[in-house]
Amino acid sequence: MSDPHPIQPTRQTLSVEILARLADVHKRYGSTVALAGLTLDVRQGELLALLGPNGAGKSTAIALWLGLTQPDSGSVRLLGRSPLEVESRRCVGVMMQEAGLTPELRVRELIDLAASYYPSPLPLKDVLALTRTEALASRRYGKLSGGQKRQVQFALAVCGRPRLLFLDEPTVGLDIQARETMWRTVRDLVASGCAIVLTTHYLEEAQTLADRVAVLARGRLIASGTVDEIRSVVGRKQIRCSSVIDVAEISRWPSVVGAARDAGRLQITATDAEDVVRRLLAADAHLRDLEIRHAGLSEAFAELTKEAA
Amino acid sequence: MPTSLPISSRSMSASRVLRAYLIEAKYEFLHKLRTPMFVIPFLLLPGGLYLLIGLLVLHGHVASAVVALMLAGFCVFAAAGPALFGIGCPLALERDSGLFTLKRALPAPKGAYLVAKTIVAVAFAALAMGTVFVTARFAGNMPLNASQVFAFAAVTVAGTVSLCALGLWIGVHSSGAAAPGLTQLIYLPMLYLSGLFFPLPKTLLSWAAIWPAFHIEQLALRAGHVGQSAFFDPKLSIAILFAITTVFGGLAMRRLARAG
Repeated sequence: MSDPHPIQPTRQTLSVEILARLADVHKRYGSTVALAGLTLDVRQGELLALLGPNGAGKSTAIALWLGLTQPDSGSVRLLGRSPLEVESRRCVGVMMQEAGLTPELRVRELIDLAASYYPSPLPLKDVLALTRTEALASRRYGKLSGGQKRQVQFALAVCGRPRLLFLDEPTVGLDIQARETMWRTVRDLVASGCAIVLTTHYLEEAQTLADRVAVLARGRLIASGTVDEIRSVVGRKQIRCSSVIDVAEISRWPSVVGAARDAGRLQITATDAEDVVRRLLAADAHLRDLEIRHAGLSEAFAELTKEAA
Repeated sequence: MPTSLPISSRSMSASRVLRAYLIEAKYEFLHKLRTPMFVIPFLLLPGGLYLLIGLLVLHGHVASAVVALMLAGFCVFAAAGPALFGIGCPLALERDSGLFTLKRALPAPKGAYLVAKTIVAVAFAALAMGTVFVTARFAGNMPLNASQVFAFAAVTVAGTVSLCALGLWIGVHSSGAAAPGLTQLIYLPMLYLSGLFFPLPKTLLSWAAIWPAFHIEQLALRAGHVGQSAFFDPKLSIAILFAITTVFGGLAMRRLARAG
């Protein structure tokens, strides 16, 4: 497969066990191509953020790893075995985007049920402590808020001491405190050697948590690397400053991709930041608070997926 | 807070696998028990209806043999509801909600989900039938002795497995919204055309053989020595119920394994 943005393996990615692998996998649903020769590994102790626009193939990739669907061609391995073998899935935890758990059961009962599928699960009180769900333990699932339900689904995902955890949009509906708690737990799990595959539309989440980012588009891997490596793929930089220069005028300058005023400060995205800064200083001698930084993951993601479209 | 998650062993002992089956069945039972829309129509309604029709309307006006047949018909009716509705409708809903997909992704023992649903549906069928017997007993009009009740109930409960298979097939092939309606399309005609509540006219008698409830009642009447109404060849009834169970159950499980 030709990769338009090949990035060399990073320090973390060498000499570690591969827990999940898709090798040249093709998958179609009728006339729709979901995956077109995707090759992707998940390694022990890394958090891999799987990013891509809707229909990029993220959900299909995860469904293949979980044995929920079969590839048309190519190889899918989970813990070195077929994902259809229950033994391989006993090392996996999963939090799906849509999973309507039984509303009549209490939280501790749901955890007890999920834990019964694993050979050596965490004790209930440890699961509740790990996921900060102690206060929910005796409540019926159907009576919980959307964010609390996501916390319970997370508890179910981690109760089996997984070596590999699939988290699909885990923080949708969570308040800030609950989201930060989940992030902290995710970091602890990675630190203890657990690998995590995270799909999210919150690029800030991927930027904060991910060791490695894989960007999919049209069923192909279009970029893979650390967050910094992905960001550096895109030559854009962001410029911020306080200035009275008209935004419309800046938008007409060469190399300016976008300009806006937010809370009184100019925000400019440019492909040649140095040239833009020279123009800014020439146009406004009283310009203040000048900052220049590489484009964020969201800008890189937008650029990469636009190229692939 | 425990943050270290050691590598799990992949193998599970037989006792732990058995425990997983039992826990699955336990929570399926609790789920059903805490669902009023299941408990009220299927556990409470048959006994209440028998009290109203079987005792208040017929009491003292018909021979005890007719009361026995009426009791038998109500028992099969009571058992048929949880068996037919207890698997397929929740399965269709859980397929829609993503719960069934999650169960497939989790390392649950193979078949634990369906085994638990079947065991609990059959258990509720037995409980529902029990409410009719208890109603008859406490109303002072129980025409069957203990051994007759036991034999009748055992055969009826065994026969409801065929209805579980039929319900499963409906649940696999329909959405959560459509499953109750489709199940009713089978349930309601079956109740009346199996001759559970009144003797069928000769024109309908030959059609009764297509309904599982007819064969369940025929076998149960014969096993419990209830009246003289068991006229159908029991071997043929067993063969038909076995065929319904294997064909509908097999087709449903094949579809589930392929497409979820």
